[in-house]
Amino acid sequence: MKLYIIPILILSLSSLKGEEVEAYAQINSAMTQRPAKIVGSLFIAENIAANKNFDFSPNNDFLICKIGGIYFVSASIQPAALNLGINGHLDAWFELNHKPISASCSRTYVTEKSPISVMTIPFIIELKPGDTLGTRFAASNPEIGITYIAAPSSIEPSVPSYTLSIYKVNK
Amino acid sequence: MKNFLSIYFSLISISLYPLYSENQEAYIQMSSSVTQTPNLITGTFILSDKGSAIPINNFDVSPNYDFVICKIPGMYLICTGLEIAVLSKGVSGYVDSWFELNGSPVPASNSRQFVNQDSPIAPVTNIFLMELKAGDTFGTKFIASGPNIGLICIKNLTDKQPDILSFGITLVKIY
Repeated sequence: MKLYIIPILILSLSSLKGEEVEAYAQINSAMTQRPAKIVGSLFIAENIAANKNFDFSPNNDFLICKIGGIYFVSASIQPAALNLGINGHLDAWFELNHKPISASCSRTYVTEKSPISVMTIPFIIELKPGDTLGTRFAASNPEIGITYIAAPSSIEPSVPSYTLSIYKVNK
Repeated sequence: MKNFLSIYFSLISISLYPLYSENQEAYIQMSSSVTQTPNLITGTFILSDKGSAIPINNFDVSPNYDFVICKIPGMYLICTGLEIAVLSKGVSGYVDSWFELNGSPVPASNSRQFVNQDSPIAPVTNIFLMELKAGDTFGTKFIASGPNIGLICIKNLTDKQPDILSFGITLVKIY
């Protein structure tokens, strides 16, 4: 009886199971970014810190899903007044296949006295293979955008202007 | 025959291990009910209350409750909530907060939030994916731009409302 087949089958099944269900990515940006007037702009994330089973657009402005499922996604943003004397707000929201996702928008204000803020948008969404997911932003003033802070001190890491974390929830 | 059976069942156990370790759960949640200010030169680890690690599964906690110790390797989702505040009148400035892995800053994990007299309190939420190995230590550090800026706990609001804690951290193994 070929009993040795059983452990080999178990080993190969367990590795196959892991490959099929895992999908996650974490991307961030070290750039200060301003949105286009009227239509806003997609955040660009040129650094890929972690990736399993996602593709990225050539401009690094959206992800492309490879494994369908329910995903937890979170965008962290550093809205900032990029010049002195600026007051206003910044809005950010998710886009699925280049269309806004309802109930995903968030707004924060920046002012002369509080020129930098941090905003986090967590969300759960169903993605199919080939779906694109990006984060778009718009501001009330051309001098309001997102800011990158390079290594504020020797003991601190840099502050990215934008971070997107996503992982597949259901297995 | 006995030797063959023991070797065979050892092989079965070894082959089942990847399935078992992948499915092992690990999570922890801790919080602080203490107003905290950082060292303005070195920064300071944010302390959680002793005994606040509920729920906890497959994590250890440092004696000072300033970092957690991973027991099961894997990919983790980490969420922190901080209540940043000016702690004195007429003060304005910012707080930076970031993660530290094994005593070293985690790249791209920092965030900055300003507060001032007109907006004296602001919540900050950090969400991060991180691969941890068994034995890794993980904590949150913060620093402020000046004295009298830190993390605030607001107690005894009303009998219908819980206290606003100065800090909370959750880690959950996702893979």
